[in-house]
Amino acid sequence: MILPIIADLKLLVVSDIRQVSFDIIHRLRDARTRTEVYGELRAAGHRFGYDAFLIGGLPQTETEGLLDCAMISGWPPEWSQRYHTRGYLHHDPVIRRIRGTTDPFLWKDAPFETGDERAARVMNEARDFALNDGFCVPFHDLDGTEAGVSFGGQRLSLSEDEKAGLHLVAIYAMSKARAVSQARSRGVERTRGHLTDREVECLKWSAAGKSAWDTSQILAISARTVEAHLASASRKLNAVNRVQSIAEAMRRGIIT
Amino acid sequence: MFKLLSGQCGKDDAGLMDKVYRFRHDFFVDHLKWEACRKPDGREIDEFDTPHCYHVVGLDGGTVVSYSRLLPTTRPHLQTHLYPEILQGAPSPSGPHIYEWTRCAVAPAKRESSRGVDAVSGPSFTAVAEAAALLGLEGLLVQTHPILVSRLMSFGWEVDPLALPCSYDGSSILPIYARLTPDTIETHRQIFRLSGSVLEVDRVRIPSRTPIDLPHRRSA
Repeated sequence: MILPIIADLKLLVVSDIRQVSFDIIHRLRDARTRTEVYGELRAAGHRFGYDAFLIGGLPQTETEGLLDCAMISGWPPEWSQRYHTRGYLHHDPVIRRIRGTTDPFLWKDAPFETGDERAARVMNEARDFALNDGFCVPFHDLDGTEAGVSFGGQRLSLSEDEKAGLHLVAIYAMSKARAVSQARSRGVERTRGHLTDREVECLKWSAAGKSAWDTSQILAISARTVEAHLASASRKLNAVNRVQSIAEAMRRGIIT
Repeated sequence: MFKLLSGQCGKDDAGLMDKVYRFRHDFFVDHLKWEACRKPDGREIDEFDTPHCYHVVGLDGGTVVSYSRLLPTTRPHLQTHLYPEILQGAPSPSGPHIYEWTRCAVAPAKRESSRGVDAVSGPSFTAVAEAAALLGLEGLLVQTHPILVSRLMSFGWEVDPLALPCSYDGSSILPIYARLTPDTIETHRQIFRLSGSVLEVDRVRIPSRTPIDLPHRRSA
């Protein structure tokens, strides 16, 4: 009668990991800021055995580096900096693998050609920062953009159930990371009121007592264009005249 | 254009339902290779296509270009009667205001003909959200690839996981309960740049046994 007991034990382990994962997800759903998401993922590392994590989009252009793409970073800061400066985002086999699969994978299963020294260097240098093993969950949006959540550590060994649990955690972490990033950019937009750089510049000179003609000389544009920028800024700030525009822009912190 | 048809009304619109079943056969059997669903007459119909289900049909001219089926959870549905094992013993919600979203499909030709978001996928997801709101539902059970679960979350559904992702028939699958929120439809419209409702509702097509306030919505 040993078999049924083993079967029960397995069920117990599965339901335990499910409950642990569901609890983490529950807290992630309540998170309101990047810091809270970061904190939850840090804490979850103790349960799953990872030391570092990263939530980020994949680069859409050649010039984008890690720091442009990272949404929430729990990488060692020195590694992030090095990775960014050296453009490793474009050579990392884990990043390449994200583009080609919809299923989670272990870093060691991200293939690269034996002669691909740049890919080998990324994986080798990661070890210098105690990132020996890792697990990555890819995301593919309807519009074709890709993203990923990566978990790394000195020794990361996950059972199949733990992989499933961490997969689920990654889905909710990504969803929340996107939501808080959007809320942040919306907040910035609301404050700035969609003013263009030129409009802000004209307002600044106006606040400094310069006339439209003065400003046109400073910015090397026509006085008529300066007037147009100020009128447009005024409309966007719901102001009836230039004095109110400046007052409103100062109140919102657009100009100081 | 998207139509919401009840299984009951299907009988009155035999021509359209015939196209629907052929579209399902083309997509699920010929395209996705679901051999178990292959039918000699090329019409993919199963025991869940009862008068109690709803069909959300996307049409381009007279051609079916997308499809989804909603099954009542008060009757046998896929999660309870086809693959209960994907729940791994976990309970799953059911009730008169919860339906199960199955057989979601967009014509491959429509998806492949464009880069980025195609013209049919976004509206077809929106049509399902509108149908759920129109039927007065609280939410939908869905079992699908985790990648699609992430998308549903970004489209404004409030998603409760029911179990951990698992492998089914060689593919990763995650059972969820997706709840409508007051913002779900509006979020779809913003993401897919839709100015209004995509679902064309013909009063006659909704059977009287389901009390529905037309066109009241749970959200703007």
